[in-house]
Amino acid sequence: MLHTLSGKELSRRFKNSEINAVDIAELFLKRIKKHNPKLNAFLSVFDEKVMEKAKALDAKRERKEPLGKMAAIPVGIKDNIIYKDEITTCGSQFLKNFKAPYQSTVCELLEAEDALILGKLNLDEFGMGSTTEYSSYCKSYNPWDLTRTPGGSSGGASAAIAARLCSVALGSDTGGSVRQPASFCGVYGLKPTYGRVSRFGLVAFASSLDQIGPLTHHLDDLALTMEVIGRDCEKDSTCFPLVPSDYEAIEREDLKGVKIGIPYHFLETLNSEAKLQFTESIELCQSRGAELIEIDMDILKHSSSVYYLIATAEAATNLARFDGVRYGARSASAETLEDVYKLSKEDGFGFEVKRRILMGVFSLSKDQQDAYFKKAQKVRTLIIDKYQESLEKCDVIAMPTSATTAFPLGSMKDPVQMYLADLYTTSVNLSGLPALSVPTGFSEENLPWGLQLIGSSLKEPELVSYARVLSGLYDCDHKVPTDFKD
Amino acid sequence: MIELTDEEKDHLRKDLEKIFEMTESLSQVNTEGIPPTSHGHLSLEGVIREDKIKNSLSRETFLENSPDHIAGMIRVPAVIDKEA
Repeated sequence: MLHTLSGKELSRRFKNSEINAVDIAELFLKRIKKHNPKLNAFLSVFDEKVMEKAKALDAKRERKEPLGKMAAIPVGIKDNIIYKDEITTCGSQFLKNFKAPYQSTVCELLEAEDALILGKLNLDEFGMGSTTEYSSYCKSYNPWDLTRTPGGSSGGASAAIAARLCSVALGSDTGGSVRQPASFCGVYGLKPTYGRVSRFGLVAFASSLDQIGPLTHHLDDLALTMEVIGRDCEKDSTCFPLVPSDYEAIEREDLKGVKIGIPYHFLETLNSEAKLQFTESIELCQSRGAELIEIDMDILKHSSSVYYLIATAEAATNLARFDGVRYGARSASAETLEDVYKLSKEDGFGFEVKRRILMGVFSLSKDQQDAYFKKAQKVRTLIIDKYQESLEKCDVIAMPTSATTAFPLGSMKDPVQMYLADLYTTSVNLSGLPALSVPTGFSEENLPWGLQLIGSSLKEPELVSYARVLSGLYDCDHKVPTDFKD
Repeated sequence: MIELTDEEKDHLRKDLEKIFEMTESLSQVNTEGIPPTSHGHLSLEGVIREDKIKNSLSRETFLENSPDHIAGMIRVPAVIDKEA
């Protein structure tokens, strides 16, 4: 049952010569072959490259050379993060043949620590969606219930982690795209502080909101990954010039002295099951010594509106570069240069992407800008101020990651309903703060719930330390969906 | 620039109406004197690096991803009419 161990433990056994990197690589490649057809978590797998890398790692160990922090840990990468010389589709037909000519900073850092990058993971096209149903290649399925979504947009990542097809997955979170799928699949998912992780090599969706973050089945692996990727990068001018934090430095056995802020009034609209689940988890925190404090975060009821106005405006700008001239798919029916621009987007982009481009273009237009885009930017300031004010009164804010467990596939037909489902996650991106989704048990239908812990800027190590206490209580690190145990 | 089919236009018109209706609630928020936020950082200025010359991608590597190229250049349909 090696696949159920943490990546950190696999790496330890590899370093102690208890197991070879080749065996780890073979095991996970076999698991992907066996289980991926049921899940569509991976879009591409680098079998040969992985085996070569594993052999090289075994040889390196043989030569007694120093081995990296993540040596032999199997990792999956969301397919909007570039991995040199391999195809990066972003889940879009537009980029179906795009071969990455350079390396993303996160992949460079992972490989420098000897991680085994197995392949690329499915997503909603360009990260735009909450179910992975907007991938133009295939939808992904939730390992806990194959009739349901694994969440989105990092749904390939959450499905792969829950099914133990890899130990670590890198996703991207623009409005909840790491945390919501983590919650739906019963795993950990972190949206780091904006600027903590380099975005160099992440295909931009909304540049002021995007952040790469890890999903893992063991909390140790999440901390380890952040120690590797959470650092300065001269290729991203928004990246903090900081060395990684030490995630082992905070020792915490309980939550004594920890003040948890709860926006009770804002959470009143939760349905009864979600409320019950949330109440149970914060009472559990209280039983471990935490002090619960009421905070006023009513402004967050506007966060979906603010988020969708800002994210689509930035997306419309970022996606303008996909013009069919320099890279990507050019429409075969284009006869003039203007056709190339217009038809390449028409042919290459899916409906949700077009919907968001049009929304963004409209809210940025001369006559509408004040009423929509600029208004949203001002309310964004109010949301940031409110978070700062609240985080002066408490150490961490707790909210559900999502108001529901994983929805049935095909059930999110109305865009407004889908956008409002992100109510608890988007404000974190608007304010640049770090937030961690922690698995907190199961519903009556045996579907995972997640609790979201939101901290002050750069306080990821604290979030991990609180989550450690919870992980001891819920023991979710060891719960594997029945059909994926072997 | 983006082309849309008539069917898409109909569908999008309805969707966008609903979506902008959702955002109407923002008009209730008093934002007088509130500055807009356009970046993701709470505290930090942009990081500037030293301006040093570094290797960039080779022309061949770059052209590998282009949909149509000839003699080391990207080819697009003619922009200027031959007759003109």
